[in-house]
Amino acid sequence: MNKYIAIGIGGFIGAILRYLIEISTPCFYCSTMFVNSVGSFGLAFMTALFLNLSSIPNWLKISITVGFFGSFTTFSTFSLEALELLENGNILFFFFYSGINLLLGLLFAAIALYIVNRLRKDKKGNLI
Amino acid sequence: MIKILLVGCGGILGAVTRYAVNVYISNRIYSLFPWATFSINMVGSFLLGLFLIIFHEDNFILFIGTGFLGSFTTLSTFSYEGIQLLKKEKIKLFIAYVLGSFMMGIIFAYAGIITGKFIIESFK
Repeated sequence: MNKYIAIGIGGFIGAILRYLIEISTPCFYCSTMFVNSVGSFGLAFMTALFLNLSSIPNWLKISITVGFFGSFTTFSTFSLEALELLENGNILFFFFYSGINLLLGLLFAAIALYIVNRLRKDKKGNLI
Repeated sequence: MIKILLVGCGGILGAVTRYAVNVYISNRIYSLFPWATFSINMVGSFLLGLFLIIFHEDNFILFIGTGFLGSFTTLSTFSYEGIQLLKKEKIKLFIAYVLGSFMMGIIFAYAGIITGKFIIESFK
């Protein structure tokens, strides 16, 4: 499959899923924290999993990583919501919100990489 | 349903554009600092601030805001690249990338809002 079509499909699904989560949670900020944390874990996990896995076609790999998880998370919404919290003087929540998005995102990515690394070691080089 | 399709189509464009820009920048700037994702996230934050000030039509916001810009920018890639910097023990680059993206993202968003307000005033 063409690279761009594959990415487009992943982006289509990722954006819609992010939107559905946004409208189904009572607070906007909550949905952003959720998608960014889960998405950071997912991208790192799948990227590491796909490394050196030739059995999965390239177009499918980038559809899931660049396409889906890239679109599932968002930085622009995070920037604007953080700015809004700052302007409203909600300093405590500003730091909490920023921390969850950035630090949890990094932490989840690290955890995901660690898990995949352990999975590889267990299987002695051969992943399922 | 229309709303979902608007978001989805924006998402297609956002993801594809993000990939194209990423490839373009990565082929031209050779650095351990993730300039591609950084630029994309900054431009996206600026544009979202700009569009939210200028446009108020729900469908347009869903398409360009939630759909396009929401997908164009990415925090998952940021997280992954951040951890890669840590793994390579590039601590200064890591701090620069995380703090830089965080602070500049908010500054660019603010700049977008200011620019939007300026544009609206100019047309009055």
